[in-house]
Amino acid sequence: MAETGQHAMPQEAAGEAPRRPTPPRDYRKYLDPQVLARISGLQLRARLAVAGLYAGMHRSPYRGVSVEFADHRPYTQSDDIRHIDWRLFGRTDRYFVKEYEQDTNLNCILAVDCSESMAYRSDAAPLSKHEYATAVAASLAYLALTQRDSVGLALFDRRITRFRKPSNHPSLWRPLIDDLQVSIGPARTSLRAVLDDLAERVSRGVVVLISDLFDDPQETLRGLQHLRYRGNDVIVFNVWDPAELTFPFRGPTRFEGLEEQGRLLVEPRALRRRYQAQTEAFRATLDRGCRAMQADYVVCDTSAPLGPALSAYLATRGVRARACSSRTRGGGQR
Amino acid sequence: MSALAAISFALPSLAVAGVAGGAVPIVIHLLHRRRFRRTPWAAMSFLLAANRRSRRRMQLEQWLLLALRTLAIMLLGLAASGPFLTRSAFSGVPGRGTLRILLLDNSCSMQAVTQDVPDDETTRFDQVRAAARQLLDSFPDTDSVSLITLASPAGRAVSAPTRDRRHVQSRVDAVTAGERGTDLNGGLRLAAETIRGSEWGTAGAARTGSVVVYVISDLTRAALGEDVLADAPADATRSSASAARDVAGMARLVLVGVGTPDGEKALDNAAITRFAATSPLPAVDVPVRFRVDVTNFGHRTVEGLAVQVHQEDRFLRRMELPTLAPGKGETAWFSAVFDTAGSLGLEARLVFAGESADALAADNVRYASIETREHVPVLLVDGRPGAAGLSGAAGYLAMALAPRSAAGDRYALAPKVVAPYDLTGEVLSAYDVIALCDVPQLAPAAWNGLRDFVAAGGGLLVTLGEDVQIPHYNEAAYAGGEGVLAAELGEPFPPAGDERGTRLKHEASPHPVTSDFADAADSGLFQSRISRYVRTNPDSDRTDVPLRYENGDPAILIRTIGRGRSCLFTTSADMMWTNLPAKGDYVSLMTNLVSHLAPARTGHRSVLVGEPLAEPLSPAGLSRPERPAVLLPDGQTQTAALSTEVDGVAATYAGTDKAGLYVMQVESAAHTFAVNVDIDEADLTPLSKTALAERLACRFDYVSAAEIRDSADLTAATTDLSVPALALVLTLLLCESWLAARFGAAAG
Repeated sequence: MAETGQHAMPQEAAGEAPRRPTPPRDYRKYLDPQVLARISGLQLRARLAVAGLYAGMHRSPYRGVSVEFADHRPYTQSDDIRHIDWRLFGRTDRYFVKEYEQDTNLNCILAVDCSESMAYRSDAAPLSKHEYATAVAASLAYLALTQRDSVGLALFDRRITRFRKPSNHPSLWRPLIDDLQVSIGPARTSLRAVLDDLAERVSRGVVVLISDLFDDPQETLRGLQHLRYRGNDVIVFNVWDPAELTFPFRGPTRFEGLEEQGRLLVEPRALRRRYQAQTEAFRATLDRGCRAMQADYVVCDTSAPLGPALSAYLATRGVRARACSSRTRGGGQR
Repeated sequence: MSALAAISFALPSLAVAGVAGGAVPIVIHLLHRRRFRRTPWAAMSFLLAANRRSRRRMQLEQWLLLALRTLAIMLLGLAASGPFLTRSAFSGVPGRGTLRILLLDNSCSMQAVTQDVPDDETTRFDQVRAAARQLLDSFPDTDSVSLITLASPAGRAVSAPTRDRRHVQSRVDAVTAGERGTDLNGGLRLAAETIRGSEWGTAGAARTGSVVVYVISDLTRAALGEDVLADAPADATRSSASAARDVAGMARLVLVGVGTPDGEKALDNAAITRFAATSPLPAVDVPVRFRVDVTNFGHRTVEGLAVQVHQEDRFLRRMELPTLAPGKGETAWFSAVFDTAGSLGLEARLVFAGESADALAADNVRYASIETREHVPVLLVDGRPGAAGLSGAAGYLAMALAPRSAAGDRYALAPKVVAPYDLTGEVLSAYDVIALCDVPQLAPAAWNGLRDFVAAGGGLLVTLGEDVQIPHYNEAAYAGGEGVLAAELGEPFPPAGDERGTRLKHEASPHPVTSDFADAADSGLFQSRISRYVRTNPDSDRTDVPLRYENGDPAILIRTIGRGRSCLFTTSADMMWTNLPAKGDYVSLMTNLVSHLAPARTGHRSVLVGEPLAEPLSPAGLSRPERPAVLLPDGQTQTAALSTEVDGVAATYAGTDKAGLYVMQVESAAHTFAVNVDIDEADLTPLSKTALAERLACRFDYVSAAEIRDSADLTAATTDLSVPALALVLTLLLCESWLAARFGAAAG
């Protein structure tokens, strides 16, 4: 188990002296929504969740940022003479310049759904879907900032209501948390328009979409396709309340639809099988579509730990970093 | 199922209730739909889509389950209402046919003349006979028929079921309507016996519905044994209903109604419902009071009615009656003086104005029998012998029973006063009533003699006073309830020195002793002051208390001992403890009391048509070689039979087929019997089908005799559908449970 003291806060990552190691604590419990629900501050929730994530890793390959030697190449004109390896010149009497692996600086856009349907929370869930989504978004922001990635934010319902450009400045953390804590309005989701708008604003970054995606899945996929077209990596976190997955209701129940979708009086037992078939088909459509466009599709149960969501981001970031590295290798742009 | 089959219900109202009960699951379903929980829901689009796909199937399932539940409850109600299937005549048991039992009502009411066809006077029994013929003609030759008549007592006109249709037809033709009452109860029990004794009597055969019982009657209240002058159903009605249920359990019961319940077409009939002497002890040269009750049972007002009374050939009185509204009655009173002693017969006849008459003549005449005597001997035992005039209780009592008058009026009661020590010398049986007036005590032999006197039919009156030795009375006269005293004596009340006193309590009692005072709360009887009396401890099961004090203690107690009565007057009969003897009502009270205690000598001489005449014989009469003779109303003479009764041997005659005065010559004395029609037969209004259903409370078919031709299913047999209906209910419930589980599993 890794020492939690190894994980730097955004200020530490910016060059401040590391704090003294704190006594070992098991932070993994903070991935559990039941525990997170008892923590009132979103900022603290995010830090503890990330701490829990790190505590579960054997080794952190992403710790810190370094400029590492990769190879030598012959000196050519216009090369900066500061990169000439003078020791090698002394042995070979020829000019070589050092090549380094460039540390990628990702632009991560967190797109969080703030439509009315996200306010739903069943009795079995500790957090509403929106609370869960903001916890995931805050944790990812914190995680990204510790990786010196740039983090941007887009809050949306039928349109983007709040947009913050990506930045890796540590001071971004607090206003970003403040933005996430906006209340939910009565508006419906219109994902296609939102994603199209977002695609016009960001490119070549990582777009993390956190939503219940209660919209036409084909339209949603077209919007995601637009983002991909703009060179973005896309991670889709599809947030579900456990009641929406299992439909556990009994006895005559009148379901009063959020987002002005009317009401329906039914015997839930009689509808359960068909309802679940509908939701499974919905998820299958999105999963297939995302896979086809090489986007990540992650189903999040608000009663389940946040770990898979955060891990998905780190996995995508690693792939993205290696891809960028391979693209820039030999570039010597540093 | 045959096209000739139809389902009927024994209790249609219950069937309607059962069908209405089918609404219960629907109501529960609707109420269930109104009780639901609300929840906000985000994934509405999926729910709406799922509902769109499942709605039709779910609705179908719900409607199917609801229909099964509704049907089960409706069928349960229908099963409880006694459904039965009527099948055509061709459905009898192969090789054996159907057993058909005809019950013909030939009672008095069937003599009623109908006016269905002008100038064609047919009686209701003519209609009964015609209906029977029609039914006989419609029966298949393979069916067996039995015939029962309903005139009381019911009897078999065809002893055993037979296929000989000609024989049955001849028996139907031979039956006539008499003046007897209706014995539907007996007729139905005979029918049940016939079924059980036949090859159709097994339970299995009964269930096949191959037995049909037809009751052809006017179906009046009298037919069901009901008392037309009483509101509450009689025990006889309950017996008829029980017998009808018994028959309906084994066969299809078809009631064929003669006459119509329709008020406009109902027959007019007025009748003398009562004719009797109200003076309990008629005596020679003493006015005897009579009462004649007339009731209009028709549906039209009757005017110009009169009652004429004859004593044999002697005209006695004619009384004009006021206009009688439908259903109303009128009472006429008259007095007559008879100059000879003996058994007399009187006839009261209803006389209509002009040429008019009513439908039934038999109930327009009523007969009464009285026995006049020279006097009624009463023995008064004076506890203070030698006291003159009104100084003692016996003196007051003698004066009350036979007041002395200057006009020399005769009275029925002839009191004789004796001293207690003279009692043993008297022949007690020579007296009708013996009164002990403040007698201190008697020898045990005297008490035993009094006990035997009362047991043989005599009357004993005991009045109290200061001289009465209470412990002696309790020990020797009451003897723990085995003696002749009506009740055990307690302490005098109020105690000595207490001068409060009390009064007698007025009650609207129908008891003959106090009935004269029922409507006279302010009479002297209730104004009199009682300064003292003796409290008693009566046996409520054996003792009547016709008069009480204001505090509820008994003033007069009467106990029946053997054939006689013993009475205890708990205060004094003189002015010692009460001032009652000074009131005029004292005379009426004591006269009524002694008359009530006197043995009834003519009660057995008033019977209904069909009931036997019986006159007790003395040992001397038994030794005579010749049999007692009976002179019938039509002048014929018949010989009476001798039969052993509970209290001795009696001369009896059973052939009282007609109303009238019958004279039985016994031991050189002529005893006149009054034989009357059952007055219940006078109400000619048939009961409606609904009224019959209420009274019989069993399943039956009803058809008017006029509709027999149109009722082809009358020859049909019935099959009980209750058990199949219950089986179907069970099947439906099982199906419902299985489908509910299946639908639930599919949904879950």
